[in-house]
Amino acid sequence: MILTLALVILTGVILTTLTYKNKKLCGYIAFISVLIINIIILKIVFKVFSSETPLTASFPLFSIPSIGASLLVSVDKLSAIFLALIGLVSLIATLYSIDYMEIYKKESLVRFYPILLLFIGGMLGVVCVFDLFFFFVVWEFMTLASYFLVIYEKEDPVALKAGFKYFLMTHIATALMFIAGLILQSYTGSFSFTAISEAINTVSFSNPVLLHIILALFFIGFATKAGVYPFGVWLPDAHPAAPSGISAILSGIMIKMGIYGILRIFLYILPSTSSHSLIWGEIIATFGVASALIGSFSALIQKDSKRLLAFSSIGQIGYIVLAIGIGISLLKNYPVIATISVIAGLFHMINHALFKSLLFLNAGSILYKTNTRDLNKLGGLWSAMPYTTATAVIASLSISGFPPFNGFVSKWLIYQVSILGGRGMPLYYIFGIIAIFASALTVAYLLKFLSTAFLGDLPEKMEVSLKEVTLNMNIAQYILAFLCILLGLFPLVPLSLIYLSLSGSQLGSHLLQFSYLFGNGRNGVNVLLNGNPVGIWRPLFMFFIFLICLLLVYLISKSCGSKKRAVPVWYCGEEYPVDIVRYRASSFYLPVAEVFERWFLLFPPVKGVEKPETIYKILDFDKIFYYPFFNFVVNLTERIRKIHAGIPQIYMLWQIAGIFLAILILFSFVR
Amino acid sequence: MPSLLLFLILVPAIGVILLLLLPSVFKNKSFLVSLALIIFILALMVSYLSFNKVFKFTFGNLPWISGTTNLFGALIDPLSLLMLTVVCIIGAIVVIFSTKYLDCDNKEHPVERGTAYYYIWLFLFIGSMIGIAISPNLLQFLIFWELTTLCSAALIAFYETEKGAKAGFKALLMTHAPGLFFFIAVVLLFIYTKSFEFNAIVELSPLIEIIVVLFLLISAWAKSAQVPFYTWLPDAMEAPTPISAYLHAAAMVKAGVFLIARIVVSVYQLPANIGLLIAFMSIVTMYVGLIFYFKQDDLKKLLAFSTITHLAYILLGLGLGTLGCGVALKGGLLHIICHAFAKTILFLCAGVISYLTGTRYISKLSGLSRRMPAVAFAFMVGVFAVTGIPPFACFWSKFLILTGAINMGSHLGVIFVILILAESVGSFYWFLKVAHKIFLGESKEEDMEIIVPPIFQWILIVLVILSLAAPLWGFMLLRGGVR
Repeated sequence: MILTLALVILTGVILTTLTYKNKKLCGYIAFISVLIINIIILKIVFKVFSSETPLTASFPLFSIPSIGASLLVSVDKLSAIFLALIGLVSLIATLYSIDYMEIYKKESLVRFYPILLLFIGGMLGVVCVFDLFFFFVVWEFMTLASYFLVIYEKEDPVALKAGFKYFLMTHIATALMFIAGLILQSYTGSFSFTAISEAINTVSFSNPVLLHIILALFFIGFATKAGVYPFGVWLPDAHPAAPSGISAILSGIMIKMGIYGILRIFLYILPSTSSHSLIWGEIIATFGVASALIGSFSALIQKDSKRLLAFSSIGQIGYIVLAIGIGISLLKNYPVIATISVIAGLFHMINHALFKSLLFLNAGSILYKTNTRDLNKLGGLWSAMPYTTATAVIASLSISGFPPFNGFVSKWLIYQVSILGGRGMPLYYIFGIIAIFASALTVAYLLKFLSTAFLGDLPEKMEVSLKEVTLNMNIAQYILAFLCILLGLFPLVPLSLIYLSLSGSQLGSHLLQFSYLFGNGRNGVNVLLNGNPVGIWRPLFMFFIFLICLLLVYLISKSCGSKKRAVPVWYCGEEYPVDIVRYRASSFYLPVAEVFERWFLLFPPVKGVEKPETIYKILDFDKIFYYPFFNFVVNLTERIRKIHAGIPQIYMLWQIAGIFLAILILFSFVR
Repeated sequence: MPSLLLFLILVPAIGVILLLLLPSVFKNKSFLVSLALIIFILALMVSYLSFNKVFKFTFGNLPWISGTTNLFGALIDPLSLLMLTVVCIIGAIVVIFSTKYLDCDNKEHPVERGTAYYYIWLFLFIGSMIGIAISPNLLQFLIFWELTTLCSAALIAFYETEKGAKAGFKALLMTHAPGLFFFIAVVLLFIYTKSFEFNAIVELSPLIEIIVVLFLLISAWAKSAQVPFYTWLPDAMEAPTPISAYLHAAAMVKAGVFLIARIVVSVYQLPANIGLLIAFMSIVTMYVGLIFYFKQDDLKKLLAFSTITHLAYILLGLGLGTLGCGVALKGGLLHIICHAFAKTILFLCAGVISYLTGTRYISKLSGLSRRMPAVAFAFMVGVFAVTGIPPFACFWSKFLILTGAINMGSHLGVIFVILILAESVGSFYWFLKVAHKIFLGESKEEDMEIIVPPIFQWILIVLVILSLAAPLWGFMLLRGGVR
């Protein structure tokens, strides 16, 4: 089946390269390829979840025995979840892109769809490969493909700079991971994950400091890709620069590849008996909460819609990393909290993929219709694009953690585990409080996004005939919104699937029963700690109550019989045009902007380095040695040349001198 | 098989003779292209027939030197096949490229007459490189080595400018003078062991062995432009670009590392100090090359320094192989073939750029991908191949060298790995920046009427495909081990 996947991707690439002149046909071919890929992924996922052992395949043709690397493919339940996620979001983003790519009049599609298919292939490869060497190969290949997509607008210097920064930072991070992987390989001579596990085990006993260094290198490598705060500063430049469908894929699933890496190394390969889990879990959780806080703060002051969403991604990744960090650190001592924590982190990851992609698609729809990303210039789009507004509102409520949407369940679980986890490490109480505060910040910046873009009145400069986006793009947005609601109403289904995937991990050795953790009610989630419920959430019930309240509101307003009338906004007697009095995006949260610039240096300025001229002078071997030596030899020969004076008498003098010398030598030797 | 090998040397020789005798008749492009293709096909046939086998064939002796042992001939083993494929395939491509490059439409160096001499020297060079690749002993190696020095000097000075003549003379001096060390080493070897074979070095006493290997190293360093003999290569970029691609990236400078490869592979136990010396000098060369990248405005000089750095990689692999690490040896040898294809792509792209825009200075080029998308694509592939991004060529060889270095087990290995990776990231940064500057960004007004001749595009696409296949071919050749 892996071969079929590869074949489908290859055919897709070839067909889209051939048909690139016809934009719609090319888009549909890409969409159909991704659809077929999704069907194959569904088959694989189904097969994996119905069997106990992971699906494996090996391709000995592509193996390098001298370094112990062979192309092993292993799809276990964790990989299956990621596969399903990748498939779903890529499908929707490709559907969206079919019509979206019309806004690029000068750029050719031959650089888009084939590379998109290769990118999707790369991501699928990353979660399936079971050998560290080929993991690195596919990882860098995925980065390469995404780089080309980020610099799609190749004449825009901002996009070029963003892509360059992205590729350079991830390349440096990958080089650091190479060092770690190579050191581990030298212990067992093989790169497969089982050999790496054994190597880590050996190193943890023989040289614990080395293991800390190795884990640090892996963490930096994966955190750079995931967008955790200090390492992910490429995110706010790269995600806006890419076309919106690609931004959705980048923010929705590619940064989750970093999370996948962290999970694999710290949860599946690092043995839980070592003390390294405790320390590294705490470090990861600290980076997570820093990310959540600083990402959300930075998003408050952004004026570019996609840049705001990119900072929001940094913030939400912080939540995911926080939860996973707590899980890793409490592995040994509080397995119940650890299990719930990892499940919460993974669930938030799935939710984030859904609602962040949706938000990026919405920003893309706005860009498609109004040709601007600047929130200062937008407004009142609810009247022109009602469906997009509805999906944007659903996504924003999900990401802020409003019931009954999916974001509520995962965020609530994350707050719970961080407060509960305080038993193991008191710092987690503070992390929990910071996480809740960051959630308030999330509401704040999404309020900014929604109100500046969608609410209010349309600016006069915009076309009166501004209409809704096309059907393909709408369907893409609806599907994601629907999934947000669905996962919110029936959270137990994804939670149980994620729970099953943990069986291969270090948690799985003494994995408690699902009903012991989450209760076995069909209609909601109970969080149980040692059998006692510490939290109960009944989404269907709440949704039902909500509907009843809506019905009541409707009935009451109907029975009063009051008429609705639209009046212009009251400005105390003056008449102002809308553009002057509109509350612009730059006006939001001004105190935060002032304090923030002073206290958080988010992007340290990089000074240009001047070329040191002295080094070039030292290394200029020509001037120091070769030319002087050459001139010396030439001068010497010039002087010797003067022997040939051109006067015959001088030559005869030389001959007589030579005869004397010869006679002298003859007499001194013949004795 | 012997007849095939005979043809392989004779075909370029016949080309040379015909061009010498009747230049105006045989300057015809189709004749040259067909000669190139014949060489290419012969090389493929030889590779196919001798895959996984070692084959030796000698004839001819000089009775006053060696008595009855044959001195000249051919040795086909995986190492020589590696070199043979590089030389013949890239040689054929470069000949075909030159037929279009050296004409009046070339905006940088329009050429109207005298191309017959170019092809004479070029075919002579291809023949001598084939001679080096298949040489069974050090004497034949030396003879063809000096021939390549001569051809290189002549071709550098092809444009007959003063700078070109000076550069050619400098190259001649700086490769020939250390070549005398090679000469002395061969003579010493013969005096002490009465044989010119590569593995005769084993029979020398330790002191003489170190002297002989050191002298061979010096001449190899000079030929391959390592520290401290590297200054001739950037000036040699006065040559026409196909020559820069072929001689000074793919073939001639590889002759130096090929010599060291032969020695390392044939002599089982070279002293460990030699290995350390090779490794240390190659790290120094890598960093000297890297430091000079940032100063270059001339695209070809930048590529020249990159060649210097990559030859240092090969020597590092060979040095680590001497210290006992088989994986690093494989990596160094694989790098020969991977780097040759990757660097040829970059040089030929630079050639196309200078052909069409008349300049090769990075500060004057911008936004070229609008009119030259195929060239831009090939250049990006070349950049990624050269700096080691999977799945392109040089990643595999670099990773093998890295694995070998770590597997040596000592702290020195980790230091090497960190140094190599730092250099790799530094060159990636600079090359990506240069690629962005040249191809991406705003296009210029005067570049709007450029049309790339289709033959250039086809050659570049073929090279891209070959550069993807090169590591596979290299792995297949080296799978059975080289010793």
